[in-house]
Amino acid sequence: MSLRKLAGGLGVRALIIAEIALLVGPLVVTLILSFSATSGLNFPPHGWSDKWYVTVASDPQWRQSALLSLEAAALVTVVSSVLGLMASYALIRGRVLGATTLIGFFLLPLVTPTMILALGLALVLTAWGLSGTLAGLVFGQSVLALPFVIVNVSVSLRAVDRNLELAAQSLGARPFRSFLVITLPLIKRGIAAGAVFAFLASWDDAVVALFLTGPGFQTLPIQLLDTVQDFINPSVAAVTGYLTLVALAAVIGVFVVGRGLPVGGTSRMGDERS
Amino acid sequence: MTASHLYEVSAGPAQTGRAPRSRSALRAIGASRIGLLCLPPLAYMAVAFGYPLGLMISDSFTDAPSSLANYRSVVSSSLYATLLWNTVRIALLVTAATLLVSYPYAYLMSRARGARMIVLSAAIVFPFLSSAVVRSFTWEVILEPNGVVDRALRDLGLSHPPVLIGNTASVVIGLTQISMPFLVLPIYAALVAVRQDYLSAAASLGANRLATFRHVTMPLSLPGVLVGCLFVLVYAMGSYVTPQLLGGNDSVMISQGIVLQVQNSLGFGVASTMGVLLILITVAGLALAAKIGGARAVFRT
Repeated sequence: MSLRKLAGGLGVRALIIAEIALLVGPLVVTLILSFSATSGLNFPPHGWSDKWYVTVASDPQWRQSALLSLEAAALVTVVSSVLGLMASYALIRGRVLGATTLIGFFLLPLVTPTMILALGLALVLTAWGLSGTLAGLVFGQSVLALPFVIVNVSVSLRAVDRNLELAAQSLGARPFRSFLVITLPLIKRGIAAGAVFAFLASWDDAVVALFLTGPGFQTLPIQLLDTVQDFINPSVAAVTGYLTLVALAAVIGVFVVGRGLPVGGTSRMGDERS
Repeated sequence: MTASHLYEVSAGPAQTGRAPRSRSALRAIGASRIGLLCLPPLAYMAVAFGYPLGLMISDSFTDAPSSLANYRSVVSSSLYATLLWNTVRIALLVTAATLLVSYPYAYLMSRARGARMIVLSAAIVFPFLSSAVVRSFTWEVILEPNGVVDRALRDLGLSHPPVLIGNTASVVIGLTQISMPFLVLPIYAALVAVRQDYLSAAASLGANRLATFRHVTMPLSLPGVLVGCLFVLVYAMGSYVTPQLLGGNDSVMISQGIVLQVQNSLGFGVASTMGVLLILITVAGLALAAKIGGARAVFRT
C-alpha cells in the first residue's frame, strides 16, 4: 500500500515537473538562444552575445512596429479603461433594467472566436476607410480589452461598501465627488489589473491587427508573425525577449500599484466562497 | 471565470431594496442618473461588436452572385468540409489534452503551500506574459528540424527522428500549452472553494482519500472544469496563429481559410460565410457543453 502510494506520488511529481517544463521550457530556450553569438539556433549556443538585441533595436522597421504597438496598446488601455469603468459603475451602482444581461453582453467578446471579431471589424473599418490607421486599430482592439476591464473593475467595485459613498453624499458631496474621493481610491487595484489586461490584449494581439495593418503599418506581433513564417534566427528570438520584458514590466506594475496578481480576481473568487 | 462574475454581479442591484426608505428616494434619482453612464460603452459595443457581426452575417448572403451562392459553394466543396473537420477535430483534441494535464496541476496547486505554491502559480502565469505568436514561435524553435528536440533525439541515437512540426500533433501541443491557464485557474478556484468540513465529514463517515475525491471533491469541481473547457474549446476553434506557425497540410483550420480569402482579395463574401460557420460550430459546442453540464451549472460557477 505505502509502496503504491509512493509510486503514485512519484508519478504525480514527474507529471507536474513535465508540465512545468512544457509551460516555461519553450520560452526559456528561446530566450537563451536570443543571446547566441552565432546565427544558428544551436542549443546550448556556442558563444554568448547581445548583438541580436542591438541588431533588432537599431533596425528601423522593428523600431517603427514597436512604436506603433506601444501607441496602440496605450490608447487601447485608456479607451477601454474609461469605457469599462463607466459600464461597471453604471451597471453595479445605477438602477439599470436588465443589468445582468447587459454585463453578459459586455463580456460576449470573451467567448467569441477572435477571428470572428477580426473579420467583422475588418469589414466595417475598411468600409469606413479606417483600415490601416491608428484610430481604426485602437477602435478594433478595444473590443478585445473591454471585457477584461469590466471583469476586474466590477469585482472590486462590488467589494466596496456603498454606504461609504452614501455617507460622503449625506455630508454634502455630489455623487461625482464621492466617486472621485471615496470609490476610486478603493477600486484602484481592480482598475490597475484591468488596465494591465487591456494593455496586454492589444500588445499581444495578432488577429484583429492582422486585417487592420498593412505594409509600413505593422504592429510588433504582426511583423513577428510575418518574419517567422519566412525564417527564424536569433534576431527574432531577441524580439521575443523585448516583448517578454514589456509584458513583465506591465505585470510588475500591477504588483506595485496593488499587491495582487492580475489573476487575483479568480483566486479571490475562490476565497469568498470558502 | 466570466460566468462567476456574471452571477456575483447580479447580486449587486438586488441589495438596493434593503436600504432605509428615507434614503432610497434620494438614491433612486442619483442611481438612475448613474445608470445613464452605461450608454456610451453600450453605444461603443453596438458599433464595434454588434454591427460588425451583423455586417459579416449579411455579407455572407449579399456579397455573392445569388443569396445562397456562398453557402452552396462552401457546402459542396470538399476543401471547406476538410477545414471544418480539422477545426472541430483539433479543438476537441486540444480540450481533452488540456483537461488531462490541467486537472492534476490544479489539484496540486490547491493543496500546495509556500515555495511549491509560488513555483506552481508562477509557472502557470508565466506563459500569460507572452502572446500566442511568441508562444507558437518558441515551439517552432523547439520542434523544428535541427531544433532542440530533434538534436536531442539524434544524440540519443535515432538516425531518423520523427518529424515534429507541421502536423496536427504540433498544433495540439502548442494550443494545449497556450490553453492551460484557461483551465487550471477555474479548476483551482473551484477546488479551493471546497469546504474543509465536507472533507472531514466524508472522512468521519469512513471514506478514504480516493472515495472522498470521487464523491465529494471531484463533483464539486465540475462547474469549474466545464467553464474552463468552454473557454479552451472556443479559443481552439478560433485559433489562427498557432496552426499557421506550427501546422501543416493536415491541420489547416477555418481561421486560416478566412485569412487566405481576405489576404488574397478573394472577397469578403466567402470569408464571411466561413465566419458564420465558425460561429455556428462554436454555438453548437457551447450548447452541447451546456447540455452535458446543465446550463445552470455554467452560470453558477
